[in-house]
Amino acid sequence: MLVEAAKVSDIACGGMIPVQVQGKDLIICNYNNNFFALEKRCSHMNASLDKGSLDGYILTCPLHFAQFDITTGEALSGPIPPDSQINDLKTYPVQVEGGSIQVEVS
Amino acid sequence: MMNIRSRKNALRFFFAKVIGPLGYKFSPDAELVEFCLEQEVKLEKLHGIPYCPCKAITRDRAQNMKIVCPCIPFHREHFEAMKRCWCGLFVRKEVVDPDSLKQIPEKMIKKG
Repeated sequence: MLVEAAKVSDIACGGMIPVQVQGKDLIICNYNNNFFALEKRCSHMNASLDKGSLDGYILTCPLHFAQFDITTGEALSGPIPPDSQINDLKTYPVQVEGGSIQVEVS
Repeated sequence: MMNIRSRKNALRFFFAKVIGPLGYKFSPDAELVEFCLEQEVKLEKLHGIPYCPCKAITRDRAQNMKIVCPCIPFHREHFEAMKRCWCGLFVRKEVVDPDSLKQIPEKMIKKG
């Protein structure tokens, strides 16, 4: 079921915000005015990814600089120092309707 | 799990932003570019840093920082004289025939 998570006007191009949808913590990223929803916590040590940086389609964790592709959730590089493996982030389907960003979390 | 192709694309994305303003581009030799980036991904997996694949890592961290790709800012005079970086991964923007460019040891470059 699609649930409104944010307004299009809430997220500037190149930006991201944390949201909570049906009890799940997510971040919504705006990449070239396309919106992507991912789980908010880094798969390495649970850092809050909205405190990281978004450069194009690449999201960098603020804690150990692991990087993820926001379009797929794929882990692009592991933590630094490279002490452990890292998993991909879970992504959620997004639909934009009018000025509303809707996410399917279930 | 990380995959080499995705990481290569990410490095390409980041490097393009750095080398452009410095007057460089990726070599037109696509095979060489793919090869160098792949080696950098492997070095990054090992050390956490995409070091230059053509230079030796030492125990001197300060020296090692000067060979983090793209290392152009640390070797401007040397690379400008060659019109390429040491690996040939990056060439000056005006270069169309990368095979015509040779590696020249730094000590053979006249210091201006």
